[in-house]
Amino acid sequence: MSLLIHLIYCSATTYPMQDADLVSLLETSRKNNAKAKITGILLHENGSFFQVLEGTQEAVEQLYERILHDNRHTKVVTIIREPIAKRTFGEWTMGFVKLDSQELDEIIGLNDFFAEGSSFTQLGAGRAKKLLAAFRKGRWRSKVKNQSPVQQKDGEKEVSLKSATSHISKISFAFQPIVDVEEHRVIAYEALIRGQKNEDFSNIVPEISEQEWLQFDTSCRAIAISTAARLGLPSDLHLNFMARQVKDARSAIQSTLEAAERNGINLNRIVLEIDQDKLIGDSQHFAQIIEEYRGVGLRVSIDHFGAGRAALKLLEILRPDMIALNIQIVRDIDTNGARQAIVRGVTQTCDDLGIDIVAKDVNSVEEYQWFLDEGITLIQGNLIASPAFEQFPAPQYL
Amino acid sequence: MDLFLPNFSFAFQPIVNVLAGQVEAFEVLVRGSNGESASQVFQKVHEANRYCFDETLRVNAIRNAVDLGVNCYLNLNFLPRSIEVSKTAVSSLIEVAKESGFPVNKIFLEVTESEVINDFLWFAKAINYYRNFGVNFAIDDFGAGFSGLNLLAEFQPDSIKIDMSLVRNIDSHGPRQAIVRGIIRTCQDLGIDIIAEGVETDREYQWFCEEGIELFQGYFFAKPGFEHLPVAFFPNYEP
Repeated sequence: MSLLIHLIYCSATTYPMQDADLVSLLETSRKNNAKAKITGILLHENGSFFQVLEGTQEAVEQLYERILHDNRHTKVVTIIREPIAKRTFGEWTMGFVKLDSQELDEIIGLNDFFAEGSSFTQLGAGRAKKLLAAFRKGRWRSKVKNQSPVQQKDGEKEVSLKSATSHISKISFAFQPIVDVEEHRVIAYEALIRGQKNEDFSNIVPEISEQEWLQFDTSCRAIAISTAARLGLPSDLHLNFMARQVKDARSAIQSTLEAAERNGINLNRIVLEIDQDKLIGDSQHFAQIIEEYRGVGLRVSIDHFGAGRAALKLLEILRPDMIALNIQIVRDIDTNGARQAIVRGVTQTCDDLGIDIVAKDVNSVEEYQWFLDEGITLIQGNLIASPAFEQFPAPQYL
Repeated sequence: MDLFLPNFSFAFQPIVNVLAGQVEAFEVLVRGSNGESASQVFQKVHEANRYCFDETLRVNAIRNAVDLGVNCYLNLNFLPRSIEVSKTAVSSLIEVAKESGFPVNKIFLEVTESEVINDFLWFAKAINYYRNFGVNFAIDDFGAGFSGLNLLAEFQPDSIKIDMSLVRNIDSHGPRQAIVRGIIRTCQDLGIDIIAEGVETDREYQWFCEEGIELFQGYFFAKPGFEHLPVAFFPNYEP
């Protein structure tokens, strides 16, 4: 089976479109799309198009090439092009919504605009949905002036999970929830490495050689997964990705996916947290490896965003599903204007790209309240729940 | 020491204010005495002399600019480590400016993002000291390296120059647009001016205009002029 991708773009109509124009455009595209097995949605509002195309890579690319040269529109901006695990608009050869801006503002779920009784709120959570939400907020409108997810690769090197190094036997995990404080819901637990008696990780493994590190990292995630499975994981699971060399990334991810399968945890519940500062090698290459696994549902989060090397450029290169703001940005944000300005800028970018933001290490009510006021509702920190050794602690909502 | 330094000269490229329709600043670019590129010149400089050369360049750049009659801002490239290496790194420049009658508060020192990253707390402290004299600071190539935003948490420059890797084809590149909008938001909140550098096409220019950017640099407006101040092209400004 070939790669399933979605491609989302926006553009501006070259002339004012009448209903008849839109209907004819839609009829042609439905016919062609059915043939090419392309699904998606097309929004039109006051001269702006916003379209999601889903299908096999060949089919989507072929169609997009034609779309780029279609003279009915101009200012075509490619927003995202990435592999997906499954289609969001599986039932529509091309769902079509015509909106005016007032309706767009009024409707929270875009409910009434979808044909066949399906609604925006029923769409699976995913990038396409988030980008639709961004469009609703007025983003991604191309305007002309003066006019009103992959098949797993075979043949990967098998990585055995022998607990060969002596360090491994000393390892266990604590878990800390990441909660949506608006919905009062735990969206995930992060597995935090500990000693077997809940000691600090840094005391346990003072020195692991470079040669041992890949296996150590890989084994850690396997233990985290099996521990989480044994404890009855109630949500998604965030795992730290500690491989130090980009060249090792593929086998490290592959073995993690295998561990998840062995333990009956669906891959789309796993989020890898990446610390760019500790990863040596080419970011582009790393992004390619991640891309291969997007198709099977794997998600990635950039940890320590805004600190060290984990910065803006990575959003373009890596296209994460999520970023985490950590202690360097979070601490005392309620009184630190520079940090506030940074988070506002990051929020703007992430909103436009459909990337979720988690505020980590939130320790005070004031920090908590500031994030909430900015619309950041995914919170992790001792204020909500401290990590608990080999259990899933319940959050305390404020 | 001078014996080990190659011959050099300068080229000047304008930074334009498209709203005011005037040249805001000239960036001084190092060239060989026959117009060779900056990298060719720096290749000939021994590592040990690098900071000394850096300092010599700035002092000469000011004299040169005054000779050519520059009366707007003057942007000079600056290696932050030179503060560490040479006590006179900035003071020599202030002295020359005073001597030649060029206002110190019209000098911008441009620091590349990647050079700051190692120890920006220290850097911020040093820079703020020189700010007392009226020297302005800009972060060059912003968004190209990996420090970016957190740099702004510790140190707010007077302006940033958005790196050309983010500028190139921005009119058709969604993620770049999103990233630059975020940068704009943060800088507006912190009162930092934004310069779009390396702008080459009308479409790139239009995109930034629509986002409210007024300061530009790039071939679209003027190429660097070797040993002279080139005339800039001013396109229509329609925000």
